[in-house]
Amino acid sequence: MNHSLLKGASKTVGVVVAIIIVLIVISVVVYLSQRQQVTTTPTTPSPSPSPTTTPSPSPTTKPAKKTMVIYASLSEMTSADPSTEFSNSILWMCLVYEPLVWYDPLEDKLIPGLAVKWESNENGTVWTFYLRKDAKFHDGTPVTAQAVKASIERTIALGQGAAFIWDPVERIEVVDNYTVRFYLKYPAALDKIAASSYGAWIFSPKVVEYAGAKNLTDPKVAEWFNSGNDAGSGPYRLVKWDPENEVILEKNPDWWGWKLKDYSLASPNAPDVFVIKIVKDAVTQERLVLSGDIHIAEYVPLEDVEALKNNPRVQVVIKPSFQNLLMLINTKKPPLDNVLVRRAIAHAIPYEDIVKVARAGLAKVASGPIPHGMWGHFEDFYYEYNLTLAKELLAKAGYPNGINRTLLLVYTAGDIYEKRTAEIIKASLAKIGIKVEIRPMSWEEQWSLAQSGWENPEAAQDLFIFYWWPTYITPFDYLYNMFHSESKLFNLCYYENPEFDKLIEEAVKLEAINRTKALELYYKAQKILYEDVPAIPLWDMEDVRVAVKGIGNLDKAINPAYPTVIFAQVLDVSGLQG
Amino acid sequence: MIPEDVKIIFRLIKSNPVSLAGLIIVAGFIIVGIIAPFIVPYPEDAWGEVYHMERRFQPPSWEHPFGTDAMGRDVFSRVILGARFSLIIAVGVVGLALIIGIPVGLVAGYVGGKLGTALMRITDMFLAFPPLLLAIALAATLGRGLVNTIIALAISWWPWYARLVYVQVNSIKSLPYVDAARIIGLHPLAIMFKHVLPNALTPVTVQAALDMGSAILEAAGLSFLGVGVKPPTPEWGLLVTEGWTSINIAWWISLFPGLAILITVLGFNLLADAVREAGDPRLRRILLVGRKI
Repeated sequence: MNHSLLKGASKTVGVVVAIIIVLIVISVVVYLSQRQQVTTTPTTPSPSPSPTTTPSPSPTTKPAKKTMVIYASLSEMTSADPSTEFSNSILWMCLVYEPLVWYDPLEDKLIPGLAVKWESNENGTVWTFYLRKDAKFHDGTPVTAQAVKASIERTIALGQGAAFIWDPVERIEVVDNYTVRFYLKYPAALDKIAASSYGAWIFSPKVVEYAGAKNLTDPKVAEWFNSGNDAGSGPYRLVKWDPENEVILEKNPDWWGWKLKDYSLASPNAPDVFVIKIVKDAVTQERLVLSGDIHIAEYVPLEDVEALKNNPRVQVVIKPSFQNLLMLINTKKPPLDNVLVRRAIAHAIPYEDIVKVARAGLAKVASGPIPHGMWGHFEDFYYEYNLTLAKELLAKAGYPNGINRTLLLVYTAGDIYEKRTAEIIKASLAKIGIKVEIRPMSWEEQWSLAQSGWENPEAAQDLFIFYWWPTYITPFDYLYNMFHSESKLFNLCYYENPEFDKLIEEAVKLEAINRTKALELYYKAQKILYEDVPAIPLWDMEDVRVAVKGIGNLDKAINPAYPTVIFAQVLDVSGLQG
Repeated sequence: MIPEDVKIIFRLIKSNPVSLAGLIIVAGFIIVGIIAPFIVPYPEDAWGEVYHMERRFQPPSWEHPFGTDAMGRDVFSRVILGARFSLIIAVGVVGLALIIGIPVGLVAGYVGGKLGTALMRITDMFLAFPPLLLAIALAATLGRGLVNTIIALAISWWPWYARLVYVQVNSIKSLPYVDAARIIGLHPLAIMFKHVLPNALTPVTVQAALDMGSAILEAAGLSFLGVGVKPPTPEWGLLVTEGWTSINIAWWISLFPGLAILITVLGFNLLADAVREAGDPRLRRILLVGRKI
């Protein structure tokens, strides 16, 4: 009898062992199959004997091996319509489409795009752009003033995405085939607007024909774009459109930029093929770039960056980014409607610690809502981390023992940087007697909760951790959207200050004609925000990309005005062999 | 469960080292879960109320047996306190699912007819969804939090118990002793709960014991996916996620909570195995005969 029991026991052991073995086998198989998946995707061609060193029977007929760069993007691509796209797809649109001008914000310099020259009248209300004559769309039609007018008018007419940037435009005039003139309702820096990363692309007006549509605003045109067609003029053309997995771009040999000798946005050794692979996890991206299965990683775990810098197989490029993180305060909900309470909170946040913990040091403590490196940024708006001062302010506001209500802080679920930032803020505010509940929410939930705040601030969140990045590079973009009383969509501080509103409205009109005066007004406006504390800017992000060693010019291929974009036409892949 | 059953289970466990290990793991888990808040070495770290800049990413040491995390918090404390949340989830989910599932299955099985069909069709509707998918959808709708996680998992779980009970009751209700009870005029409710249910419970108990482990696993899964409990609650799944981005420089942050999940789930499965063996009439006979000899 005992014997059979023992048998039962050993059977159980056997079953457990078998299960463990099966699990191990399954995980190994899954791992291998995933590796397989990665390696089966097109990788760089193995070093092939170059025709000059190897005698080949017919070197002239043998096609050269194509060079390829694979870039891993964390997020899926969104739409493919250049007029309405206002999200991740600029990652490839910047390579396929071109604007009239490009902007390098770090040098504060405009770079010619489709326009070679541009000028405005004295008050900045009439702008003339002279187009280059050798630019052609991928379908072979020349880029003309008519095309520019049609493209921008379609964007304005559809009124979606970033169409609002064209708000100053009253009408567009075709002067001749290669000259286009904009008449504005009010003065504006149209050259900067034309360099916007969203909504400023020029495309072939023939799309109407291709789509079988009645006119450009016909939904059929959007459908045609979104089924993976491009009508751009840029250095690359779209050849594969699978927005959830990969997007493949191929060099456009007819691009005008390849022919220019010293054009800063072109390299003679640019890759023939540029692949954007969607890899949704930073740890995986790091492994892939270390194994050479991808060439450039958009995100790696920030804690690993120090070690990666010393890894001989990869290079780390760190550039400023204009994305910053702010904590928006519900200024209409007691006790946060009291400016002293808001100031107390501003002084009770350990900014340095947040940058170290949340971003592994790869960010700058913010000074005002305009990020470092952008025009309009000033170094005078740091809040000192000082708990004694914070407690004093709180006492002065009438809360010597802290606040008797738990504040609700919301952030986007899944964002590790926001999560850590939130946890430190919670821990830190506890020290001055302010209890905080942190609640991760999906962006949609967070958004609808925050939108209810204008109607009913009591029901909305207290604190909102929020990223901002500009549509086109102007301080107005930050200041208007987040703090102007008419910006109901993004002013989630529910902040209303007529004096502030007036200052920035005046400043934006001066941007094109009197930069100094505009800066002065922007300074004043930020000073008001600094004292009123409708929001607390936390940190300005630094952009970290990791690439295999052979990718040259990566530093030049990154531009903070066009977030997440790698300007592949600038890359030098001559070092990529082997 | 009748006391006789419990006795048999214990005897079985005693004679089987594997089941014994299961019992020890489960007992240890329950005890730790109950007393966790009083034994954690760094209570503030455990609850995630503080952060320490001076001791981030420290590897395991005597001071911090499981190392420290990105915020400088003691991982050991967080894992220990995590046992409490996992215990609450396990008991809550399975308890709630039993409370809904057993009456539905019992009534549907015993009363039958249109009511029974209606109840079982509703059950089938829930069964049509893959359980984890349904739980994710529910958790996402209800919002994050411990209670919501429990509700979401329980809703995706009760149909299995309802089915199980329904099948058992269906075969029991036509047995002669039930007929006898009906003939002597007992109230249907009394027959259902006193005479039918106890005999239908064995498979449910086994299933429940197994599901305790699965509940922990799925709750951890939900937290890992970002729809479970709220940070900085030290729930095990959440702890694994927290360590994920720093896995290359600090393996310990994810490893230990992961091990805790593994061991606890294994414990419940081993124990459930023992319960199943005790409920097996053939094995039971062997045991009873064994005692007589």
